[in-house]
Amino acid sequence: QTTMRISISTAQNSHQGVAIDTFAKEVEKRTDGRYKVQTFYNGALGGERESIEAVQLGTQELAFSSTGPVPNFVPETKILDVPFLFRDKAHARAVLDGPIGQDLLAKFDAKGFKALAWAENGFRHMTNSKRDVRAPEDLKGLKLRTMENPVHIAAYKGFGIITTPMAFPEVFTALQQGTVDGQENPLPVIISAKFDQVQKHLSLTGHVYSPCIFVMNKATFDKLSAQDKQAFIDAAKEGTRANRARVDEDDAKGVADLRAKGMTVIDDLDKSKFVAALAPVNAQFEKDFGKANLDKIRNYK
Amino acid sequence: MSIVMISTMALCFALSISVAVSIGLASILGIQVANASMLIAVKEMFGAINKFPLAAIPFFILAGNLMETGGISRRLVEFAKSLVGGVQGGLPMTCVLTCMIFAAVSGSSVATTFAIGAILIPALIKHGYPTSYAAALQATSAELGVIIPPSIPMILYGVSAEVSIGELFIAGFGPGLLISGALMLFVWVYCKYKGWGKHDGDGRMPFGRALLQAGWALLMPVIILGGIYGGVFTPTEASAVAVFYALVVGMLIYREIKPRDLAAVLKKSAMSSAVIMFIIANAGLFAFLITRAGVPDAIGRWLQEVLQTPALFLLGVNVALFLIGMFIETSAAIIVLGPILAPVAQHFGVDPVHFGLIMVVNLALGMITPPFGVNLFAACTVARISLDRIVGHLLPFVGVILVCLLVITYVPQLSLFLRDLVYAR
Amino acid sequence: MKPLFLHLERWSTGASMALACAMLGVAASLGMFQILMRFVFEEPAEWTEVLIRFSLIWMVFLAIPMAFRQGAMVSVDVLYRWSPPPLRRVLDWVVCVAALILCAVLIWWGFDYARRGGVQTMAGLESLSMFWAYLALPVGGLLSIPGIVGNLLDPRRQELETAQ
Ligand code: NA
Ligand code: NA
Repeated sequence: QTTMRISISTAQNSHQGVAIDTFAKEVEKRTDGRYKVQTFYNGALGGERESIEAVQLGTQELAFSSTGPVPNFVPETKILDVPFLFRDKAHARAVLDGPIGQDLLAKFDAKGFKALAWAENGFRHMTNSKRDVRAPEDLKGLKLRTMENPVHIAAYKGFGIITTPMAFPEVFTALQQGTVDGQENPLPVIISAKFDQVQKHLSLTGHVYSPCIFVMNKATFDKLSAQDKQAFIDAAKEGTRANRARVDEDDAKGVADLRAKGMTVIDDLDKSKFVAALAPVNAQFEKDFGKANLDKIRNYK
Repeated sequence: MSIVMISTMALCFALSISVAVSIGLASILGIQVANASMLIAVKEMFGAINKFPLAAIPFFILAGNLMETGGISRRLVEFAKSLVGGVQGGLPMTCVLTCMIFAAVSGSSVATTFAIGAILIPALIKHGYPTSYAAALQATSAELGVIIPPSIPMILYGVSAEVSIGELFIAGFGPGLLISGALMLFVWVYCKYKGWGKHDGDGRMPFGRALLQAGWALLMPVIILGGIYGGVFTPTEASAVAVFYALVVGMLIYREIKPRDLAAVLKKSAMSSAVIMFIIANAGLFAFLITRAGVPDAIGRWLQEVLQTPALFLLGVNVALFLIGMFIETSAAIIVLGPILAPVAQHFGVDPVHFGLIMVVNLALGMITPPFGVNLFAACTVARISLDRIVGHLLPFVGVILVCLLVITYVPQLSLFLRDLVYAR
Repeated sequence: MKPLFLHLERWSTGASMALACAMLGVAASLGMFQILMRFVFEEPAEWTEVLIRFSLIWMVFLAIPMAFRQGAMVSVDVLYRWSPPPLRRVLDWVVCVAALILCAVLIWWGFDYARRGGVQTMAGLESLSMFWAYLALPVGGLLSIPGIVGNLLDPRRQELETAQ
């Protein structure tokens, strides 16, 4: 029996925990117990960037992570960070499960990874302590904590947001003290980080889709028999299924939960206004990523 | 593997190999035994110090040295002396009091050790206290850094165990005041018993004059606290503000720092920071290997099975955390154990916020228990003494914190009273 | 031979320490700059935090050669203090060899890490490869060797001398 390790940076009881728990169970079942996957939660083996790097170097066999740090390893995935690229979760899932997503998975091979499957964190939404955000004008001048992601930063600046990169452990206190006015994350992250305690206004902007990915060390994967390779891929697909079901469930419960905790939730904003406000930035993205490539994703049926 | 690592580390310590190298070598051997890749060694060392909140350590060290050279520390000590210096043992009491106030600025205990220790350890030595006593006192008082909010370990517990951070912060005030009070009472009694500090009050200024001459120095905590609570900067960035405030006051207002002093200050600060950060790097690698081997996980599960009543559970948890805290860095232990133990605590009817305080206080105690205690390393670096010499004077302090820990454990109201007042439920 | 080595060692350890001081100064200034850009100018820069982290890591690895040289690393030295001079000399050798083993790992695997980890770019500074951050490990290990050997040839125990 061979034991492998997989890690996430969130809790076991989360949309990511359910993904790796299902994956571990399926691998063991589908390989008749020849492979066992040991699961680590809460970033016990390091943050997302560290775990992806560990998989690349081969010091850890598997990792499940949001694609946050991935563009620094596989620049081609940057395109998925373009705001308002996906209409809804069904659209995003169809694209990633279809040929476009599979082509992107193949791009990982050259960097020492075997990318097994896409999963997700869901859509990112904005919260702040200043005002209700209903239209793009409301975003002007807000100090928003963002990830150090050039695509995100370019887009948010297009809204007139003062983008402020900040280490995640500092964000809660910074929001509480008003060092920054707001932040943007998927609902499960907003809930688990307790941001509702320090933020009054939530707008379901869904401005960026946040995919997750199962990655495996390429050399480790290549050593598997053809049958076991398929077993790992299928197990990852099962993990994705469980993950997406949980994200749907969390999204549905999340809004009610945050309202009950006293947040004002704007769920009926007109997204087309936000898209229109981003036109100049979008022109730049079309130059950087190729208009054809973006349209291929936007128009995918 | 864990056994091999711990015994190798102990052997290296005994051979007077430095703490950082001992931990590093033990980890390297652990990697060999586990037949894992040696890349883990360098990757985890780098990862352990590649964290922005850690920047507070070198910055507060630098600020502390600038405050010392620039005359801010001297004036602060004069001021403190004018307040409590009249009492026998007034200077160690001042140390506790200053740490308590500073803790409201800093979220880290190591940074507190450096910032306050750089001022008070030399002052205590000058007043005839043994160096080892000064270092032990400083290391212990600085624990308040993570118990009085803001606190990095509380944020880590809140996030990993899914508990309200705001409630944890509020709950920290009670235990923080208890520990401050107990420490002050203890140093007062201990100094009387030892006959130390009879001259703590000698040559002290009248309160008014001390206040006046320390004006710029006293403005520093005001600016830092005001800056954090006013949302100007984060607790980590506050350390950079401290550097520049100390530099400007020392150079332009007090005019005690000459440009040529700067090189010496930078050199001293870089060296102290490097020594402590190199230990943190090696300790991070060590903790990673222990975690990877599933040791904390196994301990958590075992506790869950063996301890059947709430009182026994809390006692068992405290004993286990105390032992774990001897070897593992506080943040790492909280990240791994928080999510395992918090649900068990809830199952026994223990409030998760109260439980968080127990974990934070207990693991903060780990910062002063040998062999791994970041506060000890920091205090030894400031006081320039070896680790073993601090132990004798340290034990009574560990005892005081243990008593406080028991009170915090079995009197939940101490933590929850303010919480319930603010978050009425 | 020994005077020449110590002369070269003084030069390399001193240069490394000077760079470490510069790194600390740079990091502190960037910290202040970060606050000014966000609070006063309302145009936060995304590259300051990453540069602060990496200058401090370089600071650590450039300053440990001097810490080794001056015997300033925190240690438990009961045995050393209780030992007669001949045994002390043996312990000096043990301490030296132990530090050299750790440095060997830092150099060999640190360089491998820099080379292999260098394919990723820095978050916040996309034009730079992580190679330049990881390089601190092997460079620090390499520069520590003269300091460690120098301390064996011409021992200094800053901890002991100042202890009381
Ligand atoms: Na604090
Ligand atoms: Na300890």
